[in-house]
Formats: sequence, C-alpha cells, structure tokens
Amino acid sequence: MDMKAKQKHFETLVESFSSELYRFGYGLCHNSAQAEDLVQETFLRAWKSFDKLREANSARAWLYTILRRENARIYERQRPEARDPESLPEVAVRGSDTSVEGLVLRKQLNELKVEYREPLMLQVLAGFSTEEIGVIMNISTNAVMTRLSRARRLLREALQQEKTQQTVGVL
Amino acid sequence: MNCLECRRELMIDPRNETVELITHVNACPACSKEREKLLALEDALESSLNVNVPAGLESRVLEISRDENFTVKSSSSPFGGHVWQMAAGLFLAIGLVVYLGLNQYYPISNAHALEVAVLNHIVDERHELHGSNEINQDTYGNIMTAISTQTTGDIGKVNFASKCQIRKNAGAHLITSGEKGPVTVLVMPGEHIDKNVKISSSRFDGTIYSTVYGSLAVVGEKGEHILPIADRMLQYIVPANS
Repeated sequence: MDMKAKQKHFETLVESFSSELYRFGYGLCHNSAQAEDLVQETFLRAWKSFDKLREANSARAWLYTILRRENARIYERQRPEARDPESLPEVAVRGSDTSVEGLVLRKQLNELKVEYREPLMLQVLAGFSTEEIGVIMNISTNAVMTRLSRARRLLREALQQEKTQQTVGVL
Repeated sequence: MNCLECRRELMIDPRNETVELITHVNACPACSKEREKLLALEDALESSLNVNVPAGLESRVLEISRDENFTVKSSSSPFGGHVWQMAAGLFLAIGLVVYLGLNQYYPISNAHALEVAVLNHIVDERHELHGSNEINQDTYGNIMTAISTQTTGDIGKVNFASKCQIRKNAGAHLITSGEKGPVTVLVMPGEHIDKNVKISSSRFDGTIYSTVYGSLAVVGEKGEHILPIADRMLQYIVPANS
C-alpha cells in the first residue's frame, strides 16, 4: 500500500471508529479527557503499526485491542482513588440516561471489576461476539461466556439490593 | 433446550436469537418473562454507556496523527530494490552534508528541530498532563539538581515532575496549571538556541526560551497565557552553580 492509500485508509478508520472507541475508553476510565487521550494514543499506535494490519475487516477489533492495552499501560497503574468516578467532575455523564435508575445502573456498572465490565461493554456497546471478545481480551470463548454471565448476575444482584434499600428507606 | 440452558444462554447474551432459544422462549412464559427483564437491563446498560462524544474528536485525532507523522517509522520502504536503497542512502548522505553545512549559517534549523522535539515529547507524555497531585519542592528540587540546575524561588504548584530525555540531553519535565489547563515546562540544559522560538500546533501554544544553561520550553493548551508562568520559570530556574 502506498503512503497516500495508507493515509486514506487510516483516515477512514479514524472517522469510522473514533466515537465508539471514545465511549469504550470512557467506560474504562470514567474521565472524558483521559478517554480522548486513549483514543488519540490508540490511533497513534495503530498508525505506527499500520503495516501489520493485514485484513481491513479485522481493523475494528485490532483498535479495541490497542485501546485496552493503552488503558492498562497508562491508567490502570494510577491510584484507585484517582480513578473513582464520583470524585471526578465528569461523573455526570453527558448525554447518557440521567434518571435515578440510570445513575444507579451506572454506579453499579462502574463498581464491577474490570474483568467483568470489559467483556460486557464490548458486547453491549460494541456488539462483538463472544469469540471476538475472546480475541480482543486474549482469553478463551468459554472464559468470556463465564464473565458475561457473572457480570450480568452481579449487576442484577446489586440493582436488586439497591432497590431493596430504597424500599426500606421509604418505609 | 430446557429452561436451565435457556437461562444460561440469556445471561451470556440476552439478544441471542437462535432458533432453539426463541422456540423455547415462545413456549415458556417464565423464560419469556426472564428474557424481557434481561432485555430491559440490556437497553438500560446500552443507554448508560452511550455517552456524548466531544465535538471535533475525529479532527483532533487526525491532526495529532499528522503532527506525529514525522516520527513514524514506516516498515514498508518505498524503495524496493537494492539499487534503489543505495541511491537513497547516497541521496541522504548528500542531504546530510548539505544540511550540516547550511546549519552553520542558519542555526534557526536547530531551533526548529528542538521545537519538533518538544512537541513530540509533550505528545508522547501527554498522559501525564492529567496528574493532579502536588509535587513537593524536595522532589522536583532533586530532579533539578540531577540536571545541574536549581530553583531559587516559588515556581508555583507543580503537578508532575520527572527527569527526561529530550533529544540527546537530560532535562526536567514539569507540569503546572494554567488558565486553560495543564502547562508543560521542559527544562533543557545544553539545548542552546539563538533566539526564542514560538510553538504552535493544533492543540498547543507555547515558547522555547533561550537561557544561560540551554533552553526552557513553556507550552500550554491553545490560547493559554503562558507569559506569567514563563516569567516565573525563567526567574527561578537557574544553573546549579549560580
């Protein structure tokens, strides 16, 4: 691929996938500036390794894989309190469901361990299959299915518990 | 498919629409209700994760990627054959000789190269821009000492401090706060330039100042008023033996 074609292909990827990568990044770090940096870093890394991309069809999953790695490299080493979404100004997530149920759900989702939250986001937000999630996360399809199932169970339990507490509060 | 298998499948993917699952759900009211609950949770989850994307994200990504292009080492060479490689090598050698010759008469080239290195360094380390911990004076004082400089007064709140390498020389990377966001200060002993150099990119504005020990870059977000910060840094960051 000559440089012009490569740049054109790269620009198409940026235009096609920036938004969804941002949302995934936001779901991982809960901070808009960090999520934007993650997207930029992801595309920079992608550009630098662009020649390794053999099949155009696999570009999307490849970009998610890079973003995950960048998040781990850059932000997961930060102190947990610096990543607490409730201590960040971006906690009121712009554009998302702002109902009480929505806030409770987001809180519970953020409290899920990243090993459960990630496959759930990759499925719900990005629409990847369990096989594709396995490739992105470098785990087996069976492990993905177990994590998805456990993530939903934990979420439901947490929501149920929250609902019970609210009912008790009202009574 | 029995109820247990159906529930297990639904917990893995409530939007699963395999014939087997749908057939079971249509015949089993309890599983149908369970599916409805899980689909509602799925919709709520999707809505919760579907945050607004900042305006101009794509263009900023493209811009910063273009800024980075000069540092990108493409693994595919446009020169396919051996002869082409030799010709390219010769061409580069001639270019280098001409560049080095010209550089004696036009030292501004060095300043431009430093400008590129500064921007590159900030972009490479931009994840540090979000640091919010105040670094104490002892910590950045030690970094300054390590590069043969010192601070002689209050340079303001420092949110990040690290020794770093800019081009061939060791320097100090500090981040402080400006009106528009984080401001990067790069202390670069040994990087001498003849005159101050303005820096401007799609995201950053700043200046590289010529100093007695080398140079000092102060770079903030676009439109940042860097002058008060630069004044402080230029006044209080001095050579160690001063």
